[in-house]
Amino acid sequence: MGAQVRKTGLPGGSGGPSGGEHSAIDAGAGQRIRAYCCDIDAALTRVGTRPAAVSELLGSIRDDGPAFLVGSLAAGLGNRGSDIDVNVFCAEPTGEAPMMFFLGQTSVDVQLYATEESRRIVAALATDRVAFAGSVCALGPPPELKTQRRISRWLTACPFTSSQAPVFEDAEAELALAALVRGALENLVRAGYAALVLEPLGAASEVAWRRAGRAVIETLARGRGDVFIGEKWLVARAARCGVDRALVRRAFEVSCSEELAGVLRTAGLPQLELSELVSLAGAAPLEEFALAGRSWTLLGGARLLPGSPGDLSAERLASEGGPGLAEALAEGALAVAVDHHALDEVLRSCAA
Amino acid sequence: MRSLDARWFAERATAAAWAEALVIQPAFEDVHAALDAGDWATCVDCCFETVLGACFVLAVLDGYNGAPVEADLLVRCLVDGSPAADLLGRLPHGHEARGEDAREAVAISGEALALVEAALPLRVERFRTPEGFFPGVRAAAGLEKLRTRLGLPGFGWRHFTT
Repeated sequence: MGAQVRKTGLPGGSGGPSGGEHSAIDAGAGQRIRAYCCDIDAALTRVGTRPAAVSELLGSIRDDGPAFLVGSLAAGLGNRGSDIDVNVFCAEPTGEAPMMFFLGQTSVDVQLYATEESRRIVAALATDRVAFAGSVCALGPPPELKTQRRISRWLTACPFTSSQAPVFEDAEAELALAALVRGALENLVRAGYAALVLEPLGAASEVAWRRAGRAVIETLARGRGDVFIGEKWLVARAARCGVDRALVRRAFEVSCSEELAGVLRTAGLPQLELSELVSLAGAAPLEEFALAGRSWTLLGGARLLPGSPGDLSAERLASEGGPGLAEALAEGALAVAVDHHALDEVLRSCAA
Repeated sequence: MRSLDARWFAERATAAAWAEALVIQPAFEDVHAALDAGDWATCVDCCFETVLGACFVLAVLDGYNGAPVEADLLVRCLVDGSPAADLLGRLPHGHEARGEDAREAVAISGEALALVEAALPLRVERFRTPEGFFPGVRAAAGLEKLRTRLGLPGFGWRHFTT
């Protein structure tokens, strides 16, 4: 059942300063991203091996097409325990399932992609963009999270040989960066909204507010070209791309909407009226059953909730406030979606 | 001797066991790699991923069908008020973390792993290691056989691919 999509009507956020008046062109995007990448020898040294050893392990897979080291090592992060992630672009990939090899105790994950996959992904990205966070941000929705991760890996990929072209050309990298900045911003909205919804539960919401605070730092890091998506590396990334340490500390300690607003203000990011930037929709088919004199709702053909489907109306739960909305979201009876048009308007007004 | 509900085992318990192998095990390996490297901040953040992974596994065991998307998962586990969710609130934060913060976070991760171990009826041991990989593949084949026998579709791996 596709239930109605609507704004949530929860309180949240406040007005604040804008992000600046930059052009929406970010010709230096590719170069900025490359500043945070590693060459393959240095990357593999971190796990005690060399490119030749990995090539030998992969054998004929290396003949299928250009191979790249991706992941935390390629992005200049990682440590002795990191996996070696390799992506190979070939004419006829056998499927999306990764292959796993081992080099000593180090796992080597190999994934094959079609040669045209990077072009296909870029062709599907939003092309309109505005100045944001010292960078550019796409107008329109970002690709799904899995695709964002893939883009971030390819933007930071190390070629196995110096003659290989990068996965993305500079013009493509600019579009890709704008999409990843948009992805970070949407994640911030989702994280902040989750915290807002959890607020009636008291102390439990503090964890969620802290995650929203971190999402601000992730947004800043991506804007600076440090695009590798890996939550556990955020402190290292924030440090190396020069995000103010005091701001990082404040962001990591955010415990309420006012503190999040303060962090956004200091970061030079627009204020976010969280409840105005998301929509709620019925997440799964809801069917009513009368069982032994009581009404029940069968959710997604799998879970039974007491009460009728009308009790789970997004409109009703959002207007009532309190824990009911959080409970409906927790049960998967409702799903949160970022309102892309509303966020576009915020971005346009802060870039104007 | 007590029987287990075969359908529950093939659906919920197996999904949770694979989530443990593919989400928690790598996260906890990262915890120790960061600890060995003296990278306290990353260690603390890996501990958060481990504990959040534990929340995910326990939620899957309880019927959660969503992906391990952080905002959704936080709502789910914080509303439930599960013991694993309480551990999230006890974790220090990574920025400017010191060795003692990292060790405290590792201990909290250990508590989360103990909760998972107590709840799961099966484990796919050390799947991402040379020793554990093939036993894991055999476990997957056994699972598919059981699911087929019970009239269930193939197991959904989509959440775990990159």
